[in-house]
Parts: sequence; structure tokens; C-alpha cells
Amino acid sequence: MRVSREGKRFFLAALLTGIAAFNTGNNLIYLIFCMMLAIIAISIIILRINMRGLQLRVFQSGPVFAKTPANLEVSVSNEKSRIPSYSIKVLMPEKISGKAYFPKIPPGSDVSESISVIFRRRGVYGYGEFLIESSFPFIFFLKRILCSIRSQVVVYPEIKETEKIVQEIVKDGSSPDLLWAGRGDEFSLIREFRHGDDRRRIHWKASAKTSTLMVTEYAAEEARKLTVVLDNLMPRDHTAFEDSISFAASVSDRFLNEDYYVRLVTCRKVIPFGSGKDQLYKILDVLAAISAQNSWECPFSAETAPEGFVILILNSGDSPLNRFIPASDMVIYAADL
Amino acid sequence: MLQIYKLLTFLLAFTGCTSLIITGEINMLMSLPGIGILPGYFRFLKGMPQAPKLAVSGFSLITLLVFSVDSLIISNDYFLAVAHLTIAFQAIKSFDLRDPWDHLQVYFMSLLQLIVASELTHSIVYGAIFIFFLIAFVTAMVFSHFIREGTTSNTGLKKPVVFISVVTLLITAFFFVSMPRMAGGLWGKAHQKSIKTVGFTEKVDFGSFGDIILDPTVVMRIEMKAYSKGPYYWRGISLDYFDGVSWKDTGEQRENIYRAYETDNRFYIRSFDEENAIVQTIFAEPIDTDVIFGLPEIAALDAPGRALFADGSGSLYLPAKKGRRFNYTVYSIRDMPAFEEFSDKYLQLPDGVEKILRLAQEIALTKDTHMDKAGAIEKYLRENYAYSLSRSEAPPGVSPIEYFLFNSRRGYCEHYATAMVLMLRSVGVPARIVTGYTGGEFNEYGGYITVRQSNAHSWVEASINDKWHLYDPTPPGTADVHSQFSQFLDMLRMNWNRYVVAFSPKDQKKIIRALSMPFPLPSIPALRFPGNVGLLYIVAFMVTGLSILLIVRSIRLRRYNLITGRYVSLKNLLRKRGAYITPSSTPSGVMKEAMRLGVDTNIIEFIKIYEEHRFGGRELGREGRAIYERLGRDIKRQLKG
Repeated sequence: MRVSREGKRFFLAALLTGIAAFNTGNNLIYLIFCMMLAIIAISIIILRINMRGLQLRVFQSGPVFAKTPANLEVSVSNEKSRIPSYSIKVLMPEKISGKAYFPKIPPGSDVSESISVIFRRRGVYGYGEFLIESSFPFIFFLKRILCSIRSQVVVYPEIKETEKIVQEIVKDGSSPDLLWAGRGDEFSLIREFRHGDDRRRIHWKASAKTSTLMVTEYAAEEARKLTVVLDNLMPRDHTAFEDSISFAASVSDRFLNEDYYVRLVTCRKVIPFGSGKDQLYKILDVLAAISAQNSWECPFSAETAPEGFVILILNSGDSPLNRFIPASDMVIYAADL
Repeated sequence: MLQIYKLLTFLLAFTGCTSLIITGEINMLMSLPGIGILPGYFRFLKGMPQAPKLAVSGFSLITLLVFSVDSLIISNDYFLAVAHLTIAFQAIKSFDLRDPWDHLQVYFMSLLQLIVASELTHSIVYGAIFIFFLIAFVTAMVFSHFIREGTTSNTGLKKPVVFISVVTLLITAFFFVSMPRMAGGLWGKAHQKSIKTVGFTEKVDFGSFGDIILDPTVVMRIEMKAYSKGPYYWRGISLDYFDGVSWKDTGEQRENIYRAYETDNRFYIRSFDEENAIVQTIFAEPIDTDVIFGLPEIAALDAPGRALFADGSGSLYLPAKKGRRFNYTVYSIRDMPAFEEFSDKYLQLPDGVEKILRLAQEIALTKDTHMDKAGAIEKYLRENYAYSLSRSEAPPGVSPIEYFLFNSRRGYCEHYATAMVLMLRSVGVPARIVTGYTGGEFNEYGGYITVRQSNAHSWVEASINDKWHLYDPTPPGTADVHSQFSQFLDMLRMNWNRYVVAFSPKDQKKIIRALSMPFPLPSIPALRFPGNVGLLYIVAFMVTGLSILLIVRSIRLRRYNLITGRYVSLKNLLRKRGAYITPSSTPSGVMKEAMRLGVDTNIIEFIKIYEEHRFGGRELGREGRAIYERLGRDIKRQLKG
């Protein structure tokens, strides 16, 4: 519990009044002195009761992307059975910034507030230490409760507009089929249902036989495969590296939305082909936490026969991954992004 | 900003100024700027723009200049000048209320006004103002909290505000009752004016009672456990020498009466049977005399104060009482004082009273005993003269008593008592005049007797058969009867004075005794600090303050275990020694700062143990703790040395 500026002044006033009372023996000054002491006492007592039985819950209401406003739900519950809590403020950790204010939390209930937060960088963040703060009923004391939230929030790379670069790709004639959104009709295989698959493509007979949801896949889709090779091998320019990660995420998002099968290849980490939202979040999870590596340890090599369209994102012109250029359909340099 | 918050600020400013106005001590001319509060708050409540800063600063400067002139010349009293200053500042501030801090300034200023007013008045109206102030202050502080948080939405504050106000009032009452009482009197002077009264000095001018006999001001209220039969004569002092114009007390030097410290702390004037004594608890208003009043004869006195004096004629003087609101208990016996050694001073007559002498001898002619003579003179005066408050001046060269007895034949108590004393002395009966109060009005609501200035009275004591006998030759006058409502108000005033204004350690003892029932406590000894009391109070105050600080510090550190507690304590010490330590300083940062201040390698070991315990989960055994504590002590010694 801290004493505020006003509290310190009130304390000083009370001290002087006390001295006046003891000096004069005037009971009316004693009365004022006692009133001031009572106000101090009631401030402390009510503040302690006010802060008792509070529980903080923080959760995100959707995926969080860097540099994009995201909503964080802050919920405070008052577990006291009869006494409401007034004027409760929740202060966010420094890296999140912002605050939530609850004028009143009725007994036995909870209130929540949605806070718009912006993470400047991708990554995996611990929520850190939140502060529940109040100075009710007056402004003389301030009490804070430190709440450590152990769960983490994954901040995905910023998703940028890719239309322009895709148009450029198309203009260059790199792949006229890239933007083709048709499905084809030649049956290829039946596979397990994945998150993001169109439900109209569920093969009910096979699903009944296997007791698992199965979907049909058509031959044309095999051609609609995209491999994103991200060069995270000893990048020199940090900003360009972050841009390249953001571009990889944006391209993956763009083509997965077009029902492509997308694969992500990085040093030490490969996300095999997949489609739908599920695949998108697998890729974003990797990209959120990706860091620079010193060696290329990956099954994907220049000799590997390319499957579908390959976009190679190089962090520099003299990157060791230049050897993949022949096997790639498109080469993007991070510095150009 | 909420309109109610603005209104509360206005009410608090108004309350503060009103508390000063009701004292009646304020110079109206100097308080005139206070009228500015009304247009100031009118503009504020209507949301009109505030006064320019330059104007506010200019007026403030002028007010300070006026204050210095006021304190030195106009009021010639620093205390009253401060009161005038606060009124003027309240008016200026009403035009300059911009942010929440300005409102708090108004509240604090009102608080100051209330403190100043408490030294100038003890009126019950002040009590009403205090309660109103408390409620308004608490409400305003709750609102100011929400205003500072930036919310003005309706949060349903009615219930909490009522609850907090009531609880604050109760806690105030609790603190008030339990707070130890002291009166250091180290500096400053009392500003409460005492009630002017006459008749209780060594010299009393004849006819002076006429000035106060119409004054309804209450001088004391008296509670009696068992009522003795009236009429009541609250005896004050006796006067023995009359020079034709004034009465004088030519008594011997006053004798100091000591408290019975070893028993019940009372002042004993003579031995008596307490069971048969008439116990009168007297709540005296601040009258300007140190005379102790009570039914004759006073045998013992229970009162605060160090010294009690007796003059041998049954009069008692307590210097601590003079000009103060004072409560004391008098134990009287149903007897009159014995006649001390014979002295011819009680037979003294002024020159030129031959006519009176002849009249007295004529009245007492057929009477043999002193008792009969005194009775006859008293009867003669009662039956042949009229009571009148109008003062008829004697022509030049004629004695006022002679003029009363043979010409005007009307007068008030002083005329009758003086005439009787002179007539008694004329026929050889030793007599003296006594001043005090008689009667009083019984208050049905409070069960006490109210004695007013108008009850001031003088009567006669005659020495017959070695004993003083009381005679009152004054025929009854018209008694003032106060309405029921007036009595009810007086009861409220009495309770306010009794339980708030004059609340004393004695009352605290009574409460403790009442609470300890049915387990009676042994008698609580009275604390006495002979010698330099003021110094003792200062030391006591400082020790209390220091103890509170240490307790708070100990409570703050108690939430930590030993290891963390020592670390926090070291951090605090480093900060005091000038190290740059913030709440977010890391242990290694603390270590660096300590080394910068010259602490040796002990700090490395100290921090290492702390980190291993705090973050590594290492539990320290007895030996480990001892090492940690030794390191901490060494480091502190280095820092302090």
C-alpha cells in the first residue's frame, strides 16, 4: 500500500492538527484530529476489503498479429459474497501497455473489458505481470496486487498486402496458373479431413467405413502446390529478415486462402504440405518463433524434385541458399521487400 | 465534471467560512471579501469560464498584504488574521477552480477554518457544522476519487457514501473517546472569551449586580445525585468590609489545600460523612472567576488543577478554573460554617449610618437573642420593601443604603443584603455579605439545574451562637421561565459541553469501568507529571511517532521471509546512502551500487545466497542463515561506518 501525494499532505495536516490538539487540550481540535485519523483508518480498511477476493483472467479473443490491433479480454471477478468492489484498475505489463478500468464489480460476479493492444514484434510473449490497482474510497492510499499470468501469447508476423507482388509475378510470366482458383474434377485420392477443408467435399461412405471424416481430393489440386523457402541462415540485416518472415506469412496466408497446398521450408524446420486454416496456423506458429540459424539442416535440397510452385525468399544476394535458385520458380530478396 | 461534485466543493467552502462566522469573533469588515464566494461558485456551477490567472495572482498578493496589516494593526491578533485570510482565499479560489487539486485545496482550507473556529467557539452550532462537514468531506473525497480516475458515470455511489460517512463518524467517536488527553500549552494563547461576571472579586462596587441581573447567559449547570430541599444558595465568596460605596474582603492570606494523593485524589476542606453529603457536579461555563461555587458548606472538591486555596471564610479558589469551561464535583454538608475566632471586622460600620442604626435598634428593641434580632430584621426588610431591578440613584451626599431604606424603598439583592448586614452589625450581631447564585431552573429533559447570570445574588451570613447562619432579606422577584423548547435546546448544549467540549480523562475512566462490568477493575491511577510537563508531552509524542514508524516498517518487512527481508532492508539502506536503487533494480544492480559505495566482496556472496534462495529454490539451514545474516550485518556496518 502506497501513500499518494494527497495522502502525504493529509498526513501532514493530521500531524499538525494532532500537535495543535495536544498543545491546546481543546477537545474540538481533538475531534477534528480524530476525524482525520478516522478518515485515514477507513481509507486503509475499505481499500483492503475492496481489493480482497479479486481474480484476474486475461485471454485473447482471436489470433494476434504484429503491428495489427488485437483484442485482449481482461476479466476481473469479485469472489466476495456480499461486498462489491469499486474503482478497480488493471494495469498491463509494460510490453503490452494499456489499462482496463472497472467502476464497480458486484459481489459474486465478474466484469470484463476488451482492450485493443498492438504488439510491435512477432514472437512468443509471456503475459507477464499485471497489476490490479485501486485507491478507493479516497485518494490517499494506493494498493496494488501483482498478478503473474503464466500463459503465453503467440504474436504472428505481420500479414501484409501481397496483391501487388503477386501481380508482378504474374506480369513477369512466372506462373500464369498461380492465381487460378479452379478445383479440377479428376479424382485423385481420399484423405483425412483437415481443419479448413470444405465440408461439401466430405466423402461420407469412406468416413463411415473408417469412422473418421474423410474428404476427396482432386487431381488438379496436386498442381496447386506452393513451397515457401525462407532463408533464416545467418541473416545480416535484421529488419530485412523480419520483412522476409512477414512476407512468408503473407504469401502463405494468401495462397492457403486460395485452397493451395502450402509447404514452409526453413533451416531446421519444415511444415509439410497442407491446406486450410489449420495449415496456416502451423506455418504462422513456426514463423512467430523463427530465429536465425547457423546451419542448414533440412530435408529440402537443391536436388529434391520440386513439387508445385516454389518461392525462395533469400536474405541476401550472397546467401548460401543461392543454390536453390535453379529449383525455384520465384526468388525474392529480403532487401526488396 | 459532475454537478454534485461542484456543489460539494461549494458546500465545504461555505461550511468552513460559516464555522468562522458563527464564532462571533470575526471582524465583519475583514470578512467582507468572503461574499465573493457566492458569485464565484455561481459562475462555477453554471460552467462559466474561470478568472484569468493574473487576476487570481493579483488578488492573492493583495490579500497577503492585507493579512500582514490585519495581524499587526487591525485585529492585532495573528490567529484572527489567519481566519480572515482563509475567508478571503476561499473567495479567490471560487474563481479559480480548474483541476481536481484545486478542489482539494478548498477542502483543506475549510478544514483549517474549522480548526481555527474550534479555538474561537465551543457552541453546539459548531458541532452541527462539524457533522455536516464530515459528511460533505467524505462524500467529496469519494467523488474526487472517481473524478481523478476519469469516470463520471453513475456507479451507484449513494450506498457506499452513506456507509462510509456513518462508519467514519463512528470511528471518529471511538477515537475521540479513547484518545489520550493532554494539554501541553507550550505555545499560543487561548482565544475563547470568558463570560464577564461581577461580585466575585476582593472588592465589589455597590450596585454592580444590577448590570448582570437581567443577563440570561448560562454560567453553570448543576447535577445533583439526591436533591436537597431548596432554596439553593450556590455560595461564592463573602465580603466583610463596607466603606459606604463598595464591599471588600479583608480576609487573611489564602491557605493552600493539598490533594489527598494517597487516597482518592480529592481536595478535602474538612472531614465529612460522604453518605450524607450533597454531591453536586457542576459544569461551569468559562466565567472569569476562579471561585468555586457550591451549596454551603463545601467539605471536599473533586476537580482537575494543581492548587486550591481557601480564605478561611468558607470561600474556595481554584486558579485552573478561571476563564475555562470547567467541570468539578462539590461535596457539601447540610451545615453552615463554624464561626472562626471572634473578629470585630464583622461589626464594622461605615461613617454616617446613624439613621440606619436607629432603625435597626427600633426593629430589634423587643428581641432578646441575636437569633430573634436577625429574624426580625430579615422579616422587616422582606415585608416593607419592594423588589425592583431599576436603579434609583441616591442624591449626592446621601448614602445609597440610607436612600434605599428611607426614600426609594425599592431595590435588588445588594440593597437588601447590605442593609441587613449594616442593621445586624448596628445591633451587635456579627454579619457579612455573601455573593453567589441562587435558585436556577430545573431542566426536565436533562435532569439538572441551569444557573444563569440573572441568578447572581447576594445574601447575608450572621454569626449566632458561634455558627454562621444564612439570611436572605430580598423579597422574591419575578422569575424568568423558559419555554420547553428552550429547555430542550439547553439540554442539547449541556450534553455537547458535557460529552464533547469538556470530555476528560475522568470520563474515559468511567467508560472503561462501565465496559469492564461485571468485572470491576481496580482503581485506575491518575497520571501526574509534575515539573516540565510540556517537555514530557513532546517526548511522548515523538516516542509514539517513532514507535508507529517502526511498527509500520516491521509490518512491511514481515510479509517477506528472513532472506528477502534482509535483502529489502539492505536495498532501503543503500537508497538512503545515495545509491541509485529503483523498485525495478535487479540484485546484480543492487550489488553494483553497493560496490560503488565501497562495500567489499561480502556483497557478492550476500547477493549470491539471496538469488539462490529466491530464484533457485535453495533452502538455507541454520548455518546458512547465520552466514547470510553475518554478511548482511558486515555490509550494513560498512555502509554506516
